[in-house]
Amino acid sequence: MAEAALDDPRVAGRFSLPTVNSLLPKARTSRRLVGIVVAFALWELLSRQSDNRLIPNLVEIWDQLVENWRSGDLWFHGRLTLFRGLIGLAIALVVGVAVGLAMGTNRWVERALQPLLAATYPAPKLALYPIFILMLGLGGSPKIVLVALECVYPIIYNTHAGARAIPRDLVWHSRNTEAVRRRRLLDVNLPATLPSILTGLRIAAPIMLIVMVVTEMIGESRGLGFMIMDARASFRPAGVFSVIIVLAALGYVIDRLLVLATHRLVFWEREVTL
Amino acid sequence: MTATAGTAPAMSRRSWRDIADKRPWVLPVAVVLVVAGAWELAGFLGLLPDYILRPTTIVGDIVSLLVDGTLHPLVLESLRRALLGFAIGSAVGFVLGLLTGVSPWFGDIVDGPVAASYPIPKVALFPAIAVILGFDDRTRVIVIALACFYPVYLNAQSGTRGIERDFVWLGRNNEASWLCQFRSIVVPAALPKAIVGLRLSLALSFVMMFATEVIGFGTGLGSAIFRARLEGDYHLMWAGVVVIGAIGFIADQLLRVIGARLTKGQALEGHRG
Amino acid sequence: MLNANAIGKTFQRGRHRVVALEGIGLEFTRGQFSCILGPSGSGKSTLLHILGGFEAPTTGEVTLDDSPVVKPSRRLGMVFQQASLFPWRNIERNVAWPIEANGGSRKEACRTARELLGLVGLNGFERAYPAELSGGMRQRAAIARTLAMGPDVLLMDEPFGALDAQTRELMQEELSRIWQESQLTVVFVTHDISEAVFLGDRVVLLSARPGRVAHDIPIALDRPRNAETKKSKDLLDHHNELWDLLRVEIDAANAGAA
Repeated sequence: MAEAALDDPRVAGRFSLPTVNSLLPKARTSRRLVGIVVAFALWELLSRQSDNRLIPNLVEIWDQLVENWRSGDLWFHGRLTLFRGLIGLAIALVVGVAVGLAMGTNRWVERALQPLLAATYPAPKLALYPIFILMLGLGGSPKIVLVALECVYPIIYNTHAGARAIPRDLVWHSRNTEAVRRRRLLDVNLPATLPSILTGLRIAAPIMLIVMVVTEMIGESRGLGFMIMDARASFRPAGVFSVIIVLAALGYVIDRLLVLATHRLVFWEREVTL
Repeated sequence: MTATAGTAPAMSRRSWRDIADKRPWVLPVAVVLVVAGAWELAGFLGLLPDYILRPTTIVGDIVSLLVDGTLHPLVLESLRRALLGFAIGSAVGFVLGLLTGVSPWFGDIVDGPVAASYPIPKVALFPAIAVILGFDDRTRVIVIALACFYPVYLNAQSGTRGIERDFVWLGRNNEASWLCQFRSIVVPAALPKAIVGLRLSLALSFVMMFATEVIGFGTGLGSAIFRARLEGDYHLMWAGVVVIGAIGFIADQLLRVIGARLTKGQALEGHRG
Repeated sequence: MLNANAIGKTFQRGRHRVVALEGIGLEFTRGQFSCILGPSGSGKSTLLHILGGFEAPTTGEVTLDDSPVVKPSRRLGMVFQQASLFPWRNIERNVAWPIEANGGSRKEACRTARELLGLVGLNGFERAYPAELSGGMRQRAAIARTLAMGPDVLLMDEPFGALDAQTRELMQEELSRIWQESQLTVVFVTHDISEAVFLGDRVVLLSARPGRVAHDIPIALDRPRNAETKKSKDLLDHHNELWDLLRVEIDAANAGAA
């Protein structure tokens, strides 16, 4: 009764190495590029028209960017920002998935925590930063804690939603086999929730960057946020914008990496276009 | 699970569940009270470091700071900035989001720069714009508006995507004008998602308000909190933190209620209050 | 072997009270293939869920070899209407999972899985993923997976309901063959009369809501049953008899709704 020919490469839904195309942005219509090009052109125009030195033109920004890279500043500060940020994100991931799964599988945990999470979400957790500084001193630690705190929300929210949406039959079958709870969670609940977890991670990643940048702009002497403030203070507007471009690029690359990871890890959902 | 033997324990379990379902705030409030109680106890026993105040102290501080007029102006000033930025950014985002959703050619042109600028942490734009305009209120509101633009834009646009084909065909069948279709079909259909975007945007406006006050010598509640830490005035610090949190919560709840009213009859996208 | 004693199930949703089942008393003997038939909404699936311990009855009790059934167990294997295989594992690993979950080694589990896949006629498709298979093949794999639990009873919840008519016919014959070889006790829920008559040793007809046992009819068709059986006059007679009885229940259901 074979209907699908298994050797048909279109049908094989397993591990196929991503082609270059899936790494690059999907080639949208040229209209999108037109919009960007127009935006850049406007900027350039604005910059050259106004003769105050405060709006650098694109060439100047690029030169500054190259300079930052060559001098090693970019690597030094960027590495620090990324390092601290990713630690915070990792903590948020572990805690968030655990809490989200707990909420998704246990009604009481859900009833207790969900209103609390929804209530505390709109409160700017940045306000707690001074308290973290008091607890952990200045430096990387309060930043990491704040990143973890901010990023844990989208991860919990998405993990919870995903855990709740697991098809009933999958859960019932796992209970049918009388497998122990840990086994069921790891073999069934976790893989089934994986797509949602990755979505949460995609949302959390830019939050991580934002928090790092903000905290590095306040009384800190290292990191990309500091670079921006430093450039502004030394009247180097091109420097400011060059770091902004780096940040944008970073955010974009991280996002694409996550999309790639999702494609590999959630190999069974071929339909999803991200 | 016979009818007789199982009744007593099964009954009490069911009634706990009834309480939890009918009054969903009971359990989380209980959790909060337990945590607050433990915190208070720790303070009472002297286990807390001097920069962590007891809940009762914090409440007392808030009251006295309100009474003596310290908090009031700070809150108003910060709120004004946040809400102004929120209003501007959301309005622009809403309109553009809808327009780009319905018109492919316009959509792609605008979408290009928006998508490209999306990964930029908007807070990084604050010093950039400050280079030109200086660290003042105008800049702050602009940055807040910029940040608030994106969630509403993306969500409103997304809201236009899921409109059922039949609704669109209905409009065409009735030979309704473009404006009429837009007003009576597109806007209501996109509203639930757009409101989700609004709530995200509101939360964002508070964060940005805070961040812009703290960077570069601002005024308002946020900067007061930070300065309080430096000066060791833990009373003002904690009072400020709690007040900001409360304001954020209340504003979000208000928006949720308003949103529910506006989208009566439509299911909100799984976003719980 | 499997007994339902005075089973009743009432659903309460806010202000609505729905009595799905009432006073169900049934006995399923070892090796028997029982089909449960009834109009839509008669609580057939609910009864099956209760038999398997997935849902709790409001009144009454289910016993398996005289011990009460209160939660899902490996002895009562459930086959769902949508095969519900794990999409992230290939067929072989899907069928192997219940054995691994029970503490078996991976090698042993895969070996048994391959045997079971052979039993259900899926040789050669071990490495395929569920998304790559047709509905009928997925259902076979689901049956193999449930067999991997080593159950005493197979509970089947309209397993062919989602398949097209042609595949359904073939799957019925396949299931009959598999059952002949394994001789398990089966409780099979369906709304298709021919299916119930072809597969079952007996057919239990539930009434309209609240579901009660309206009739319990033995099917006197020779075993083993195959494509030929489907053309036999005896099958047609049983079909007509049941259709008339079912008709009464459907009319009652519509009258109740009116």
